[in-house]
Amino acid sequence: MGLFSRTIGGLRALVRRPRVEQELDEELRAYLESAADQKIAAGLSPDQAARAARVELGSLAAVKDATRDVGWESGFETLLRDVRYAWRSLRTDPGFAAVAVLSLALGIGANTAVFSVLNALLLRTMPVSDPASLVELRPRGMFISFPMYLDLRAAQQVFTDVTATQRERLFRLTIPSSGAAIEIDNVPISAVTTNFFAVLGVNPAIGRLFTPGDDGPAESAESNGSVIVLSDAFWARQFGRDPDVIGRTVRVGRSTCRIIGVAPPAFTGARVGERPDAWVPLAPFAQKNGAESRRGTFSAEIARLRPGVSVQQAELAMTTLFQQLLRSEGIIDNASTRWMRLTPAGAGIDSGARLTYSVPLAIVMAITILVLLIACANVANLLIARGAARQGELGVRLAIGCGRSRLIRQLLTESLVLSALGACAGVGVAYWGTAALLQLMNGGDATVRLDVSPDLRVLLFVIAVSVITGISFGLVPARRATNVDLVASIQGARRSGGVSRQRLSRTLVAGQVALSLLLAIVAGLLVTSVRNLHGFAWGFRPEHVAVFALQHNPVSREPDALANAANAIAHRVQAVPGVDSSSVSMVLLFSTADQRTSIHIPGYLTPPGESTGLDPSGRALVLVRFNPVSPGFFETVAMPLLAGRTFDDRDRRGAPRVAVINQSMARRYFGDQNAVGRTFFAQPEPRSQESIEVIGVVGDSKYNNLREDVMPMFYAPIAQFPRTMSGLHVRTQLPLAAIAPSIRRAIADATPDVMVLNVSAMADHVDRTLSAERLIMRLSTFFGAVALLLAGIGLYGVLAYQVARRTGEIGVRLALGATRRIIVRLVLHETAATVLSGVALGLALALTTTRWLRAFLFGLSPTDASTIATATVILIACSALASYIPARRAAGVDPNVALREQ
Amino acid sequence: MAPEQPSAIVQGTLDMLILKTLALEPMHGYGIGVRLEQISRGVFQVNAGTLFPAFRRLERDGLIKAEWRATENNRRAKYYALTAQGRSHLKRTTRDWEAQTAAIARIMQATIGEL
Repeated sequence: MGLFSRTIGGLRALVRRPRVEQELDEELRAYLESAADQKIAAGLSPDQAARAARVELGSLAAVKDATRDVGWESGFETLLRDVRYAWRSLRTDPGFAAVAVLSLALGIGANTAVFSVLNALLLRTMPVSDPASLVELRPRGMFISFPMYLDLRAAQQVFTDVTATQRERLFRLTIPSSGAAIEIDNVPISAVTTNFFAVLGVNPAIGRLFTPGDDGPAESAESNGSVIVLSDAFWARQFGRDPDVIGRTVRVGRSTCRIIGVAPPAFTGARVGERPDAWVPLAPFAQKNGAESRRGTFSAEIARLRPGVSVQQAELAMTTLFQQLLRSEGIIDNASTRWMRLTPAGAGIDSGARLTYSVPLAIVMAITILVLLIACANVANLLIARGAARQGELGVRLAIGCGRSRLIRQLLTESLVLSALGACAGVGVAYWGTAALLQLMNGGDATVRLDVSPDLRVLLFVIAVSVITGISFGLVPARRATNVDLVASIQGARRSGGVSRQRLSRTLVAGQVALSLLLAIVAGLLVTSVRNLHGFAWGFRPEHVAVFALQHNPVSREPDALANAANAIAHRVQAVPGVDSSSVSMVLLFSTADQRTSIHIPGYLTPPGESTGLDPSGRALVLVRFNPVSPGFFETVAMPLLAGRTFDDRDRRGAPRVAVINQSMARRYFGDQNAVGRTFFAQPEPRSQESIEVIGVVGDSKYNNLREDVMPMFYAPIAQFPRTMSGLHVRTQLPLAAIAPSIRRAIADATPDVMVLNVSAMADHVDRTLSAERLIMRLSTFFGAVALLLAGIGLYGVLAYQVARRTGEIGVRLALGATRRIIVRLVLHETAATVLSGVALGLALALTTTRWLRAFLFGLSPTDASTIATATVILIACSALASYIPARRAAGVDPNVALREQ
Repeated sequence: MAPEQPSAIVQGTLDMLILKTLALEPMHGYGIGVRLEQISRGVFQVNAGTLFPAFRRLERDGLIKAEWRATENNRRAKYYALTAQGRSHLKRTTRDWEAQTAAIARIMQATIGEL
């Protein structure tokens, strides 16, 4: 009751404020009149009575204030007034406001951008029913093949159901239309079991989603056709949200699929980092050998816990089941060491993006928090100087009876207005920053696709950050500014509170210097390590090499057909004008793929630990890397030939089987003697028991990433080891853009089965494997520079203020015979103390924190002396620059003018 | 949001005293102040800075209501009167107050022999 009537009363007072005020005025007037009447009755003259009544009442304004303060609405009104006042006072000092808002916008915006990406990567819950009961099945030290998944699903009791999804794959999608069919390359499509949407609890936007009837035997999609569910984004992009799309057919690769439904707009898939354009049923799209082999690796499984079953219970039950299954499979002999972990899947499951980017993004978040701290210190310093300039104003307000807490509240409101403006501008920075961050993460390629649209969590983050920021940079300056010596401030003396204010400013600047130094050191470490990674010999030369990532979906997997396709592409591309040399390969250099195979080497005594098993005839096998390539590979990527020869057209299908090995393989398995002419046996082509002759040795090279150790490896002619192709390497003097179209055409002419996924220069392609390092490097460099700039501004501000304050003193010193040099030294001496204490703090910070970067560094330690020294020198040089101008101004003081002003 | 009230009146009892005054007859602001001073024989001197916030508070809580009327000197003044709710509130607080003061008095007069 009381709360209700107070709320209503307060609202009424807000809406009818003029009338309420007027009524209060009238009531007070009536009060005074009544008081005067009584005093007249007691014998005073009307004038005396009126004055006595006024004296008795005291300050009219105070009574009115106290009366207004009864309702909650007065607090609200005060806030509005303070905000208006803050706005006006900021407008009188646009320079200050601009610098403060800009540095806050940068700090808040950068944090928001990183948080948006982290939110999308780690926190955002999928728009599914009861996300908390979804778990991912993660077998430790094992995999789940498709037949194993079916067995587990049938036998388990702890889940309502289990679904399986494969990584998204890129397909060529053909949309038949009245005119020419529309062909779209590189459409990401995810294959899922038909219970996928039902287990997640996702309902269609239109049409229907998969039902068990949409299944089919493996590989049946191509022959029998299948069905497809579109994502909302793809539906909008390709079909303009036409509801008649249901029932139409599209071709996925070579399979005709009927569109049965569209997923809701918010649902972008279950794997974070992927955003499929469509989903197809897994079984009919699976290759026979993948879906039916009990040893085939497979996919990820998501399950929904039965109500009342805890994760621990389910984990235990699934582990038992998994071990039983492994024993009956007889794949491994130590089944009891394998177990099943269940991890929460409500926020989606990892496609690799979390593994790659969680730690780098956490480091980047730490960097942006440092930037925000620096920005806060900067704004706090500006506020301190402003507080000093407003001593007169604040002194007067305190003198006429304004409470100190009231003044602090008003100054804090000003800070909050600043941080709110900063946050508004920061949202703009974040919008741009999020896009830039994603671009950096992808190295220009959309390989990690995240839904970074802002949600409630991001909004709350921005509000929380701006409020915390506003209070943290505003509170101390506000307390300082209101701690005024009233008499001195009104008399116009400007030195009151000077010493402690200076100390605070200098502490803040020292803090800025420390954090800037830390950022500079981080940037230096990353720059040096990326240079180290680039600087040592890769074993091949990336200059003038273009790489084409290919997707090969052959009609026939017959070895002859595969060999012919490779041959056709190799020859057509070789004929393109401008191509110096080229080679197709099963594995693209520096891709995530890595092919290994077991070989037997006659004459090599395999140490017990090294053997990976025995071949059918009981010979010991060792595991090596291999890559089938077409002739011209070594010439194209400029891998040096150390002995023998490389492949040429003699090494056809049917010709004697040959291989080129790398130096590590030669040294390890053939000793120091010449390996050329020696032989080994490889599994890749099971039908063939023919031995393979080593015809050449090439230098070692980095293969998948720059950090790895070189592994023994052999190259084989793709004609003799036919495989699907995933890479084309081209050596050319022409720019990429000039030659790419004609090569694309040559590929399309050679076979319709091969789709170009992307084209890049080899150097960029390799760099992409360093995307985490480059992400940290670029951001720490950028923010390090910003931090240095802010610290410079802070230092300059403090010194300039100090010089202005000490003009009189400097004048006296000059008049008494001090030289300009002494004055400069005097000013710089104080700077030096501030900067050096900042440097000391920064070094201490760096020495204790840079070890978190160890995983991203190469060829130097986290406390690399020369990097730290360089950063320190740069920082001190910048500080000297920032102090030079105020110092010169101090030296330029005219003693006459200065003394006259005193 | 509670305003600081430098007042000779025991903290929290002003509202009760105003309600009691108004229980006798509707009065305007100055009259209430004078009446409090008279009845307490000058012990309580209540100024406008204390009274007006109290009026606003009681009116907000629906315990008193106000109307503009002519005074005995034929001036316009705002007269306050108890509402039904105010009357029952006064009854309740009076009961509480009596119980409390009796208890306090007993404590204050206690001697060692009574324990």
